[in-house]
Amino acid sequence: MKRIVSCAALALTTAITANSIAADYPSRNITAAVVWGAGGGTDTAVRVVANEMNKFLPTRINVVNKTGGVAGSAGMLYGHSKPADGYTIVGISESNVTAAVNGGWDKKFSVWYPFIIGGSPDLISVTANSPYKTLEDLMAAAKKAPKSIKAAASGAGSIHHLNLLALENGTGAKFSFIPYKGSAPGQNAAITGEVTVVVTSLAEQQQLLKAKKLRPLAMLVKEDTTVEGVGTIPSAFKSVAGLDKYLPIGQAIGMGIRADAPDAAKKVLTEAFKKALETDKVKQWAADNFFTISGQTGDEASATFAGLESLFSWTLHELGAAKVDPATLGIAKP
Amino acid sequence: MENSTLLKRRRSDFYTSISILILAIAMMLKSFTFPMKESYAGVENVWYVSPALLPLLVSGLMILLSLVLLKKAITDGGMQQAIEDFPALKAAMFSENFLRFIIIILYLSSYVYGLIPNGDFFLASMIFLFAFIVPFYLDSNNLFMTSFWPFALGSLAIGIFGHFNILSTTTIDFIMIGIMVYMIFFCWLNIKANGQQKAKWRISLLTSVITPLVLIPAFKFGLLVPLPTEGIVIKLMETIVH
Amino acid sequence: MAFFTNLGTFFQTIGGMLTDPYTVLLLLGSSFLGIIFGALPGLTATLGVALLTTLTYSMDLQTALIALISMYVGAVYGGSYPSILINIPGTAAAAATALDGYPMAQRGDGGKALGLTTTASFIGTVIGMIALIAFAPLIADAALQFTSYEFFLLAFFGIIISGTLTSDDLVYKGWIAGLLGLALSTIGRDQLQSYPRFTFGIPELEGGIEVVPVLIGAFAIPQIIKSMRDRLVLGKAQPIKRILPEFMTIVKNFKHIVRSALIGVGIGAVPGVGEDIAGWVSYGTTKNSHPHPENFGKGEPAGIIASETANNACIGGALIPLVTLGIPGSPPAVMLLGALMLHGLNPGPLVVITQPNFLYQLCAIMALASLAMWINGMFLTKHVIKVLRVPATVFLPIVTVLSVVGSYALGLSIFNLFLMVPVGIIAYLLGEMDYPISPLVIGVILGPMADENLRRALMISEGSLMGFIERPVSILLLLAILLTVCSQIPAWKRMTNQIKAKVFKRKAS
Repeated sequence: MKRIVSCAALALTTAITANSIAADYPSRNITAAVVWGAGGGTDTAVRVVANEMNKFLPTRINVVNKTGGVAGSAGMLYGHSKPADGYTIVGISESNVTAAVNGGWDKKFSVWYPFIIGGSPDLISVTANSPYKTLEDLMAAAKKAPKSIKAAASGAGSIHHLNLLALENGTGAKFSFIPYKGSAPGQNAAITGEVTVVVTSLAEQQQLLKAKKLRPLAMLVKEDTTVEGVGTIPSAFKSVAGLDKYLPIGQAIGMGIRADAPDAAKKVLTEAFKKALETDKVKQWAADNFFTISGQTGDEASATFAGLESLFSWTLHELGAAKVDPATLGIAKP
Repeated sequence: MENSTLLKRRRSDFYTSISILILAIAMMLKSFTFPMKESYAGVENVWYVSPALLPLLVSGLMILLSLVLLKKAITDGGMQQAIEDFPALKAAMFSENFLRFIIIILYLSSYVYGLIPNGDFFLASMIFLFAFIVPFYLDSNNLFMTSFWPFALGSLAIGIFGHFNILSTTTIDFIMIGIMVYMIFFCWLNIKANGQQKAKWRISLLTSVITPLVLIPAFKFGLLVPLPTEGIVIKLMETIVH
Repeated sequence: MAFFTNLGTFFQTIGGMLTDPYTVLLLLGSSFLGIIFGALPGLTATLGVALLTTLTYSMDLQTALIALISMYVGAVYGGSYPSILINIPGTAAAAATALDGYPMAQRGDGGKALGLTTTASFIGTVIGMIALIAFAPLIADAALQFTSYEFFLLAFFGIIISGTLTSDDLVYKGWIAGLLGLALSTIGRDQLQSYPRFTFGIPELEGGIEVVPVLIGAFAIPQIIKSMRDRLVLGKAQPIKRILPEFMTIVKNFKHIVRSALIGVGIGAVPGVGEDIAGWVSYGTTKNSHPHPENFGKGEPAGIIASETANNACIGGALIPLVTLGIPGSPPAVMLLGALMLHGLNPGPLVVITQPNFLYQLCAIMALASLAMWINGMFLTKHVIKVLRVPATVFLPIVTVLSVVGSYALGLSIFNLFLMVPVGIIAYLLGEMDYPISPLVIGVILGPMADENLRRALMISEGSLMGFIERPVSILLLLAILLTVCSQIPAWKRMTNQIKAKVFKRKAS
């Protein structure tokens, strides 16, 4: 009895004092809730960077996964329901910008103060024993018989689907789009020949390219990319004129804290984030995974996300898949 | 198999087959409202791509199987039994077994819907464990009366006040401490004369304190998993650890 | 020559690990933690590996792998403890174990059941490891032949077989339970077009129903209600006379062990399908090929051996496509892949060239992890059986709190808890009406896979059903499903009996 009462009294006093000294951020561990599944692309990137950030912070960042909802809305709602004290980070990616138009929540992406780690460029590949050796071959075949060639990309409205759509718009070719739940099953389907074309990121595809299970046709970014054991993959921009109107649409994997968090917290985290990206461990990891480091924070990163939000939301709206009209959310047209 | 068990089974099959039939029909009707032909989300839609395909398949099979089950229940005399037993249904509703089931569900619901979302997880688990263990372990109706009602009504109040943000987590935590103190005190009054009961009472109290005391730090600080609601006790633990 | 060098690496790694006391401690500790994790309802191998990834980040790759693999092996094994002791499977993978394990515990053979489980899991893990080291490229190629057709049929087969095996009343009640699970799984946004189905405007339902709250709700809550209601004694806790399991039982069931292990490896290697379905398929196959199938479900040791060998053999199987192609074969392997990448290792075809020792190191770690699991298991078996002496009225409230934590921990979602209670009530009522519960859970687990792959298969064949009978693997699966269903239809039974009778008559004359 006595113990309980004294515990309670002690708890009350500490609870009060803890609130009054918010200045020495961070004074306890920070929780980073990744809104995508454990072991996935966003999860891995956030864990690598968070663990390096730990070296520059007096306390730890603990990474957990909070999945579910629509386009990661469960994790974002969780992160947003916590106090704006900088002790809760969300691990997010570009796909989360569709949560609002999909009806997952009613907030624009500007509620976050983001930190962008970067992303891996998308490329288009075909089944290893398919007759298409170059992007031109494939496009010629696709134009000859529209919608006869099956193309895989993860679910409707995902970044890879948008890349595929942009390529279709830029070249005038039409594929029969087959959605998959995530990149890995789509790639497996391309290996088995269930589909012929697959669009995913280089990080996700690299092992299959090296194993000669898939044949790369073109990078969907401006630069050619050389992969050890595979050779140089040419950029689609060279063979298709005017593609730069539609591409590139880059991945943006990163973290965010509530935009209304105290400036002190933002400053501490930004510093640690920048330092973490400079470490050899992160650099090595990025090189191994064909990950382009961005390092944008604050306003710069917000602008990137706002651009993605507008592009994704309106594309979904045009496809008729958006539950909420982006105009009602105040999302500008791209 | 004994004939009476068979009849009892077929009687319940009679009830369940009808419920499942209704459920499956409702599911099928709802599925017909899903997009069947029009394109959705950039995917060419035809009957075989429709989101309604599996729900229709599942509800169709469910209708088929529940009809088979219904037929079996009727031919084996389950329906007959159900009609004969119908006047006794009210008695079955108030049977000891059924009442206990309801009470246990109330315990679980109070804990899950009332306490966990609104109050400190340590305190919530502690009062749930104490209130749940004592009456069943000590097997006493008196104790049930002294512990169940403050627990259930307290949880209900906490659930309502917490849900509508009338009370803060800290206030709720103190209310929970109050409920615990109340239960401990009045349960003790009830059993203080009985030596054997006293030993069991002590075990119950220890279990309800030690379980969360081991579990919560193990998750919070060992495995680094945040807990549902972190109120005064978990914050206190956090301060001690740092 | 290369083989001996490789074998050298294998034993060198083992030797190196065993001489370092810190490593031995880590091995035993992680394995112990894994077993506890598996034994607590709702805490799965996937979550265990995910949490340990954070904790082992600062270690070097090999040390981290020791911890992670031991955790994985331990957690898959640990799920059998509560299955046997209190009829609540700790993980979905151990659901088939409860069918025979709990009856054994009730008649006082709990110690024997736990001993058998331990050895069966050990043998399963080792066979999985051997498959990994010997046939990795071969199995990976075969597993990648699975297309949408096969995935759909496999999911459907899993539901049908668990429905068939668990019904002790009419078999179609088991199928109805499976269909109810499938129906639950269609709640939420569909995977292909993200159209909201049966969400009734509740935002939390849009993401679909998660497996863990259904698993706990369906298994733990009915057991809590029943035991508290009747103030049951959990089981007979007889002192275990011998620590080592009865080797005769193992030898006698050797055939079943090998078959179950091969099933486990095969299913593990198929991407996206894991331990939970391996246990069921193996249990079903063993029951059908056993001379006394009527003993299954009443405490037949071969039943425990079948499911436990298979779910542990699955680990080696799941690592095969992971190591050769960077494609994880089971849900915990997905997390393992993430952990490897965190440590700067990208498993894939080039690993053989860039890190030639990796495969052998991994196998050496697996060998030690299974040994650590066995040692821990033998030690724990003696003590864990004492749980049965704790009065149910004290123990099950504790289980309730553990279930709540388990249900919450994976998704960090209070809504999962809200879901757990109604699922539990429905499962209890269904159980009272003699419906089996496992098919419902299997239905929820495999439902999304069935839905997505059926529609995609038809999308690819443009509506033609021919795809299902044009491919060898899908024909096999289709036949297996038809046989399972037909063997339960009375007319079919009469017919086969008549044929059998005629054949035997001829032989006799």
